[in-house]
Amino acid sequence: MSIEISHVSRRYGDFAALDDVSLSVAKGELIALLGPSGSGKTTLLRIVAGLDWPDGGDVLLDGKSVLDHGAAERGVGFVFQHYALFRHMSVFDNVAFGLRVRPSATRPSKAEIADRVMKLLKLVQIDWLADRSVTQLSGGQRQRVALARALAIEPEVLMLDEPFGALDAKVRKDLRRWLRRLHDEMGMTTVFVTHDQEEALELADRVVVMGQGHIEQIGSPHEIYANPANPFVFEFLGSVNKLPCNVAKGDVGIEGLVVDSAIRMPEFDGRGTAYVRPHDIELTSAHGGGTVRLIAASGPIVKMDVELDKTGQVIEVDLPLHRYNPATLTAGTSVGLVVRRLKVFPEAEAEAAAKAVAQATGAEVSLPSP
Amino acid sequence: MPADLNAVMSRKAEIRRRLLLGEHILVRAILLFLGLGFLLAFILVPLAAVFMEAFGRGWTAYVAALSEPAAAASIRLTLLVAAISVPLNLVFGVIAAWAITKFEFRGKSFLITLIDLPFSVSPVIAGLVFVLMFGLQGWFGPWLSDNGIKIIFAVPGIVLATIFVTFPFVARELIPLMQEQGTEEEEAAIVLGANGWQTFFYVTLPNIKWGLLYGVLLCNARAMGEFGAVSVVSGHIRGQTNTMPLQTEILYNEYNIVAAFSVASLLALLALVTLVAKSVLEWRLKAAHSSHSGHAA
Repeated sequence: MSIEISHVSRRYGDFAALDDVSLSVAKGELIALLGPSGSGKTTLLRIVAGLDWPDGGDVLLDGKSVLDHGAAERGVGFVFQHYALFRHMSVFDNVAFGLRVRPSATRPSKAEIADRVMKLLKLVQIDWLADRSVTQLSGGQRQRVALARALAIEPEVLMLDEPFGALDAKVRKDLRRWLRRLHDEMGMTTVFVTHDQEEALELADRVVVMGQGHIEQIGSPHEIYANPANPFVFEFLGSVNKLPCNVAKGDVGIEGLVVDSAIRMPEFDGRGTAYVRPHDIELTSAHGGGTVRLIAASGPIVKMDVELDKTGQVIEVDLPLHRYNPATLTAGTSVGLVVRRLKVFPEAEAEAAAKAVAQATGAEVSLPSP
Repeated sequence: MPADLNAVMSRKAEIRRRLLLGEHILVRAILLFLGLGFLLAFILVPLAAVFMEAFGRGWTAYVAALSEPAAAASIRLTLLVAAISVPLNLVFGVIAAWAITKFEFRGKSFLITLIDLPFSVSPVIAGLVFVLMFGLQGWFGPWLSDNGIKIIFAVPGIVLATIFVTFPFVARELIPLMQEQGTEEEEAAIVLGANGWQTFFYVTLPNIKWGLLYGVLLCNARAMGEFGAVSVVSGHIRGQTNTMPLQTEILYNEYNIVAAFSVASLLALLALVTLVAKSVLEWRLKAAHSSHSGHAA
């Protein structure tokens, strides 16, 4: 089932949870709605599922507007953030619920229901828990019950609200892979909401980055990460160094760093903020760029804090492990810095994005001192 | 020496600790004596007195007092009033709690305050309000008497007054419970295709059943025991509009001690049964609650 969201708005009093949002999802796609809390991603999910209604705009499933239909008629499977399992029922009864409440004309027989429920429980690998009360289950098991229950009504669209949010890291990773396989096997359209960029980038065909009720960027995980459309997306996806720069005739100048001569910014002129990923900075043996302050070598990437000699700003630099030589590179080593990739945005835009991200994530605003 | 000193120090600390917590043996004894003594003097003794007076002239006199026509009529009336007002308050209470906890609307806190009104108003006033509205000199009095409908000094008035006085019990019990449980399970049911009734009977009701029973129990105890409001609207017509509390008072005023206490003993028995049922329900509620918090974790 394809999903078409067209100019949807939703306000709560003065607060615009969604502001003119449009998005189309093709049949069989796996989409991640990624954004900080308050960006409107859950509201969007609830509007498509029929748990909330937009103040303006339209929602179409398979080309037909569904705003006149309640949640029950849309046939959308929904997995709630805290699972919302029926706490007084067994695992089996939870999964059977969607079949049992059908009008008698379309309700499967008791034996068929039992058969389907057990098949689903096998699919989510918890058939041995069928008779347990849901209150006795672990978080990961509850998640699987919630998923089986949503799949029981054979939805053509599956929506998951922060499906892995309440689980610990190891379970989360396993379930993530497993959900991807499930999606590929069952061939439904899947939309999930997350604030975890790693989750979104690893799992989804396409990622929709949301901020403050808008869609900031839509693209494949690679596009989103490698080519963020604006400072907000840059800030929200992974770490980034923000450096004050000056662009003259397409040449970018950053104090204290050497910018690769192949980089040209012809469309930009004047002062701006350069966004540089930590792995897009290369260290050279030349002196006078910066001084290494901190080295964390625990994994495939060596993470470093380097203080720029000219401005005192501390930037992050990532180095692949095979290029790290502990004998020559230690805290206090003076290094040269070469930028291999960057993107420049106007200072005002950068400032606004930093504020927006900080507001949404509760972090402190950190801006380069000019 | 230092070891000795340590022992003395720790003994002193122990004594101080005990004094701080009032754990001295004397303090403990006095508190226990006062507490139990109070309970005995003000609750157990009067309760025992009710039964002793009721059975003062033996079992036959007790049964005779209860089967006397006016007494039997008062028992029937009390049961009738409870049988009408408790189910009505159950339905209204659930509806009010549902509206308040599952929807967002303006004037919500005002509605919650309004539900509490019968608790803060003296029952006598509650009774007088109905007399003012439906009595012969009341707003609707002339119209009612023209159409041959009798509310005040009749059963309908007693039912109305009882409903008014007992309205808050169910709603007040349910509102915090349903607020805590939120709306997610209902939403899950709706997304799975359940209609409103299915959602209510399969999801909401099982989640609130112990709280609901608890509210109904308290509501029933009050409905059967209410004196003030019912007294104002009843008119005290023997064998017709006297509930058990009113009948007890009349019999007592007539120095018919055995009969008065016989009827009173039934009310006391109701209180005891309520108390036991209440403890059981509280225990179930707690169990349901802890399984719920486990669920959320």
